[in-house]
Amino acid sequence: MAAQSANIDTISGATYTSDGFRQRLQSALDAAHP
Amino acid sequence: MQQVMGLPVSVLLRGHGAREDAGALAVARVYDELREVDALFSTWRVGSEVSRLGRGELSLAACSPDVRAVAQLCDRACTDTGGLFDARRPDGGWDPSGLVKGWAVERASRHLEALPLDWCLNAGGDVLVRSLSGEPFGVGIADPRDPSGVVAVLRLTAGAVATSGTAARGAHLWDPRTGAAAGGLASLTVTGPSLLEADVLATAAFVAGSLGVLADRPGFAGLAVHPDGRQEPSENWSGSPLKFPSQPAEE
Repeated sequence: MAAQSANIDTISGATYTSDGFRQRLQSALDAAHP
Repeated sequence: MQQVMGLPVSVLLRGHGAREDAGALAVARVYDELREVDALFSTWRVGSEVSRLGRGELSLAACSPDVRAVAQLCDRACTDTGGLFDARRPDGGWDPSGLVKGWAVERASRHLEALPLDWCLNAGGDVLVRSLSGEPFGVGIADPRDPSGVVAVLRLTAGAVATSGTAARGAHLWDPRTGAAAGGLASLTVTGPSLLEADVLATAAFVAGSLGVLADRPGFAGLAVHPDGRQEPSENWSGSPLKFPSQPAEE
């Protein structure tokens, strides 16, 4: 597996549970497309 | 690994310098502190201070010092990122969750500082590492198109890594022409000395769809991953790309 050969101890990824983030993204979208 | 603040939290300890119970105790303190933070800040918990603040049942001045401190940090993050990071919701509510995670994890990590060990703390994809031995930790950057895959590896002996990306697809969050989020990226990772700042910068850069926010932050490096898989590192990014599993390995 690629992960093992690259000596990976942990993985950083986006949190898919962040409701707050979705709100911010929505605000940005709303602002960009009024 | 435990679930705290609605996130999987794990601590990796490496080395032989400590008694096993000292390590276990330090890790327990990390989890306990994160649970306390969750009680204050969770927007999912009806009785949390943040929820009560949001319903107008509590004024900010009447909130605990931690909530007030986070409010100040959110204001500063909003100003510093030109509004790309903003805890204020369009409906007038306030949701500091994007900043609380990095702030809380970084603060809780102090319980690990005294251990004569290398440690790697991961809370929902926010990573903080400290290697006393000098041996780096391999921090994989998740493939935004395949959660079980890794697109790059960063070798760190100290510092933080935070990654921003969108949640499940919804018509109003994605550009239907490209399948990408409105900012244009699949994910954006920032690494630097502070997890709190890495979190804020990753969010801001993701919303902006560019690494531009890092221009005046020389201590921080970033990696943008485009919807087609193309990786765009900042000039000072030290990570190495890995091939997608479907492509043949180089060696």
